[in-house]
Amino acid sequence: MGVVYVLEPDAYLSKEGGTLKIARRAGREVLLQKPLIAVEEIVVLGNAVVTPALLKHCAQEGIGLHYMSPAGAYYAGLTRTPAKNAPARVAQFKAHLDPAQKLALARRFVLGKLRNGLVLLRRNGAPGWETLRGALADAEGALDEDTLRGVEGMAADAYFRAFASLLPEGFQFAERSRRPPRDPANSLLSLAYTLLAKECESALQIAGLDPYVGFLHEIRYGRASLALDLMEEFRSILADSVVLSLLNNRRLTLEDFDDTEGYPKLRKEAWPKFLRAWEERLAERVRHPLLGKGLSYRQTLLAQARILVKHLLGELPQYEPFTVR
Amino acid sequence: MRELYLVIAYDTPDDRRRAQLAKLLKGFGERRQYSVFEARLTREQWAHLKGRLEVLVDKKEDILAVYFLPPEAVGRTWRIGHQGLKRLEEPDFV
Repeated sequence: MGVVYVLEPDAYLSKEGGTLKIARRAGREVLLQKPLIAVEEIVVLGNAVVTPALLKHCAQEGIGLHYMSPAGAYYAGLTRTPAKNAPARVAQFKAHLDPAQKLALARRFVLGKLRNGLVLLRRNGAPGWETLRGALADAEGALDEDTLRGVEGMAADAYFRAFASLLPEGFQFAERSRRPPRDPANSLLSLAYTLLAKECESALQIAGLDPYVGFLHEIRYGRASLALDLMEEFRSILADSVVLSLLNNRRLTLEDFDDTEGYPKLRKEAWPKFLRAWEERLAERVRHPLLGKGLSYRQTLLAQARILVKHLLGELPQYEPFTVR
Repeated sequence: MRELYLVIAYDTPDDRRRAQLAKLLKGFGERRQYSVFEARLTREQWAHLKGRLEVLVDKKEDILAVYFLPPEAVGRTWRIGHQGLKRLEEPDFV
């Protein structure tokens, strides 16, 4: 998985022969030149220019091209492969329209989220992790979607209260806040969730599903609700754990945040540290309990999307979220 | 995914072909000297490159050799002046 992150705001990305060439827009300075065969994804944070020839190459070869704001919000993307799996999408829409199947799937995503959240808290010895056990039973027994979402919301509050206690001094937060995140830890969580949502969206696209039609998250114009569903089971094990280790290992400190806009933002210079940790985590290998083989976390996301397809097409009796022990 | 580590060296009297070879190889590896490249490729990528080289190289006039290094040899390579090839999956930050 060759990912290129472009943080330089004035970068000019072009295709030169078989290479990706990144130069500073004004002037001749070449920042990076590497064979395009080694590039699987380009993530542009800011206002870099991409030439039409490179764009065409990315589209033909299935190289993902993603645009994010310098603060990490997702704008748009050219996905790796166009979804050819029409039967999967028809099955997905049918399941969305069938209340019983929709509730069943929503429940699986919530259970995946709760189980993995519990593991993260327990492993790190967070006080109060036991309270999440009750939520698991409540989610199993929830009779309708609203009750299920209520259970999930309550559990999320409890989870973040416990999670906050794992953070070093100066980074603790009272509750999860976003738009804008009111403290540095929340700001990092938001960034990590944006990156995770992007990964889930492309995994779903590759598997042939429509990331915008979900089960737990209601559909809304412009909201990738299925990507949000899929990321639930990965939030704690991927995003939260990266934030936790970056802060606890002092790889990021309060100096890496800028407060000039009234809320803390990760400084531009600190972005590589954050992204490197994120990439390391995604490259980490883990044993997939259902498939019985070792996969990187990035491959695991794709495997889950494919397992969802199998379930929707009737090849698996139920969707099995990815859980760690 | 098994990777192949290769060193490609070539010589040709034809200026045009020399430029074409350099351009092609830049898309697969890194240039070490004017006509020496290092590349780290999957088997599929190598098959692709091999096909392109077969079309491009003139068997009568040019010489081109691809040396495949075993993984142990790559680990023992001694270098001055450059870092060696990055693994394909390593991310880049610009």
